[in-house]
Amino acid sequence: MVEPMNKVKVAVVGAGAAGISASIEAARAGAKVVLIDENERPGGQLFKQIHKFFGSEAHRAGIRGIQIGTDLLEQAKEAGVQIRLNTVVYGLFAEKCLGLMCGDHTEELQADVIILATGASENTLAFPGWTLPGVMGAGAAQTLINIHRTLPGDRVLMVGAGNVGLIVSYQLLQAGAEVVASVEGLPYIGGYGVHASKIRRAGVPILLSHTVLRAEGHESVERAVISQVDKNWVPLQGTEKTLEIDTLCLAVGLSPLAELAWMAGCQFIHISPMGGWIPVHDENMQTTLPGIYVAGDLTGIEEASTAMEEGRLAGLAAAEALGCLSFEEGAMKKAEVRERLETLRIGSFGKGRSLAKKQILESRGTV
Amino acid sequence: MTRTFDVGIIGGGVIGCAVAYYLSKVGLSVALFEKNHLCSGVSSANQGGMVSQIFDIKTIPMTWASIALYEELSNELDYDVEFNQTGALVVARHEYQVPVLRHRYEELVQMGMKVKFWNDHELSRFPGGDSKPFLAVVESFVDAQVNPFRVTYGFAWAAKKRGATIMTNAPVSQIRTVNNRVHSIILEGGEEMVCGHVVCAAGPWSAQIGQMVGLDIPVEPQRGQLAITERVAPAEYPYILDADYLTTAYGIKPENEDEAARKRFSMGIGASFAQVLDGNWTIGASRDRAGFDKTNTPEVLKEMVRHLLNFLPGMKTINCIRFFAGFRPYCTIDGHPLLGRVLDLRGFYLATGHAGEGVGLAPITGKLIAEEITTGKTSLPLNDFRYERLSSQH
Amino acid sequence: MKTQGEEEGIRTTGIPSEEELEASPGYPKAEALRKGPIVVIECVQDIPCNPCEAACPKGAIKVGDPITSLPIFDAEKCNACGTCIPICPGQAIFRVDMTYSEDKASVSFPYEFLPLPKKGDIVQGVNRAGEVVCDATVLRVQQPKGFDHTAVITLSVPKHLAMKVRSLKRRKASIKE
Repeated sequence: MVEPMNKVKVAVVGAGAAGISASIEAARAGAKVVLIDENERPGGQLFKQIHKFFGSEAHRAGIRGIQIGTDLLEQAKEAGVQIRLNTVVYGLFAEKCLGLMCGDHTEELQADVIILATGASENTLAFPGWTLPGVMGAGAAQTLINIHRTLPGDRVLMVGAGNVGLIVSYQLLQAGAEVVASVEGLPYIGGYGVHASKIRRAGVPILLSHTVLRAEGHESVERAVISQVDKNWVPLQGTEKTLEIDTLCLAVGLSPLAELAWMAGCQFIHISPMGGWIPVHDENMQTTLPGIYVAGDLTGIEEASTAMEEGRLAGLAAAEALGCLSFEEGAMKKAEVRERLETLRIGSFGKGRSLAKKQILESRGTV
Repeated sequence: MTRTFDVGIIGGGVIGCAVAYYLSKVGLSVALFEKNHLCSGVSSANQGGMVSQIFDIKTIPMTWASIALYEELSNELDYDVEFNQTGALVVARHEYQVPVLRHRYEELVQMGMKVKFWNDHELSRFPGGDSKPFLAVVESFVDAQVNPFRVTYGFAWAAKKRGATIMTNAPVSQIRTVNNRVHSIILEGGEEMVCGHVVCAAGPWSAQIGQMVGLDIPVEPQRGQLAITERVAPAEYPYILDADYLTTAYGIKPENEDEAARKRFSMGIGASFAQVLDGNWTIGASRDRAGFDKTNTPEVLKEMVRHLLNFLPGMKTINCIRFFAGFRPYCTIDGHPLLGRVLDLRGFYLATGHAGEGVGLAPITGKLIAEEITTGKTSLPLNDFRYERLSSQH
Repeated sequence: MKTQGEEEGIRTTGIPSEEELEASPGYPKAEALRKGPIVVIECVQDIPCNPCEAACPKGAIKVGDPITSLPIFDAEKCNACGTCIPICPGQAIFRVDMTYSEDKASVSFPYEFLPLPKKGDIVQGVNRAGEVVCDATVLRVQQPKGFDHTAVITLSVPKHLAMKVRSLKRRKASIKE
């Protein structure tokens, strides 16, 4: 193994909600932290979340995602976190060595502790016409309108009524587009009812037990054909409807971006409702490989609030592992974070995730 | 409960499945035992190419026979193996490579191979990464690429259609012999499979199989790393190899050692760039002995990618999308395949040790093993590849 | 929360049903509505969320522990100041004054679209399903800095629609606006 060029105590991959939070905790405890992100701006999904957050005061309820992102970054800088942007981590090699690429320049960075907070990517749905310009992920549309201040189109069909689909529909309306309909294959709305209420009030119909059959158009999307489905998601004959649209957004779930954990040889467990393949971790967010931690959507699709808490947990655990935090102080701080995490994983929307997280903890050594 | 087969094949990669097919084709009852899933070893981690012009002289005629089988294989298997006869260029960029290339060219002409040694005009069309034209190029026309997954599955499904039993997640734990003859294969689950003949097509795991029957099979894993790019438009010459492939692969050190060449030699890099039908380029390949450690190493990856730009500078803006590693089954005595019956153990056959030539040699290996088992005579001589040659070389 | 196959409610329409609303401790009883301006909390799902509790200067909203509990609204304590309206991330809090006039009630709701109307404008009042149910006069548009970009718009509507109108129909912005 060639001597790596640089060594660092804590390397955090991904400067989203989880990564920034992890960096802050580790740095405040006294560890030297490098926070790496492939984008030109940090913040992950936070700066796209222009709506007010739920949760409790500790979770910044009532504050918009963009403000939370700005605050977190301030805190990271104050804590002395070194932030490296425009830097892709293309590999996690032996001995906790990260392969970095920044422009034309590559380097290896060896860390005592690595925290992976690489988030998730949007799922896609294949149907005839899905490659026409105008078909995109709902998250992509959200980036266009909230970061780049550009409308993807004027007449949108949103596929998927989970929180992402409902929130992005609302934001598309705010940006001046018309959302012609939201279609959802399930017979119920998976996202928060209040998000659905906002778009219903704005005149957007939500068609349950419906799916998109195909998109049509000459050089871009001009219309979509939807139809009702039965409980096995089989389209029902004779229920086709054609909608005149120019944009088709897919909000059909997210999957963890787990390649680095996979490369390193971490153990995984498959849990569909959490997004698919999840790197197994313990209550300190440590994977099955000592010194490699995970946090945020990478460990199962949840929300920004849980991502921040998991990030804090991983950061605290990392600091403790490096001896920057005493056992007692670490235990106390981690207990606070775990308590707050629990309050986010209750109720009809949370208990499934709570069960899934327990499943992850229990699977260590058995899968 | 025991089951009985004419032939039991250990290993479900491209070799094992080819053997299964050719044996089933002539009507023998065949069972194949793969410890993982089909194509899970190096058969799924290679460039899918066969470049006869750089193979060892001993293996070249066999390679041509294999390519001839590939030319008809998709029809025969009724399964498209994506055989793409792109031809191949072997390129010299350094002076020390030129005589090696010239010598090889002359050998190939002697053997009757259709190859072209580029003239100055042809060379001038191809400036490399340093903007200088290549020093020498030998172009072959018969060389080709396939999709190794489709070859493996194609052989397996066709064998199944002809009555073969393909068992996956079926690791072999023991091989019983009786009176110095193979008797049966015992799977980890305890099932006993009585087999008239046993073929070891276990690639780099062949040594472990050998231990089960008291044979020293000197095949070890030789790790190779590959990177894959995104899809790009089809290139005029989609298969390019560095003449170092002739020198490095066969242990010849660069004479006037420059830093970069020395580095590549230490990593066992024989540069080979192949564009598959879908448009992705595969970038390879290194050689080192790391046991069964499948991890990639950044210095090898970077070096292979850097070296690519010496040949195809236009690739600078193309993205790599993934990388992986595989273990070539390498015969540590002389680097040649181990084929055919083993005198010391009746009924036991070897089809392993193909190193970096397994995909190319799969059809002919299957055919020759089937011939040897059924008639005892093979359409090509196996003398250079028999197990017994090793004892004279120890 | 009810399960699949039940009557239409927020999970199957995106609109809380009358039953869900009446069952929610945040929804005022009829007598409270008759007395004067009052806040109406239409929160019917157990989402972990409680900023309304801290927002109310009168302590009229209690969520408690766990924070998935539906807010309990104390009509006696509520002075209809409306501070809670822009705070609710679900935009589920409104203010209704049935006593506004002889034949009109006023309805206040959170609004985050452009263009904002102006006091005195005639707009179209929509119900929870986005259907236009009446014309309405804009009585007030509040958007102080503390509301963090959520405007609170108050409309006067026919009295019988006070518990139906929950927003106004969005207008298209012209380039000049």
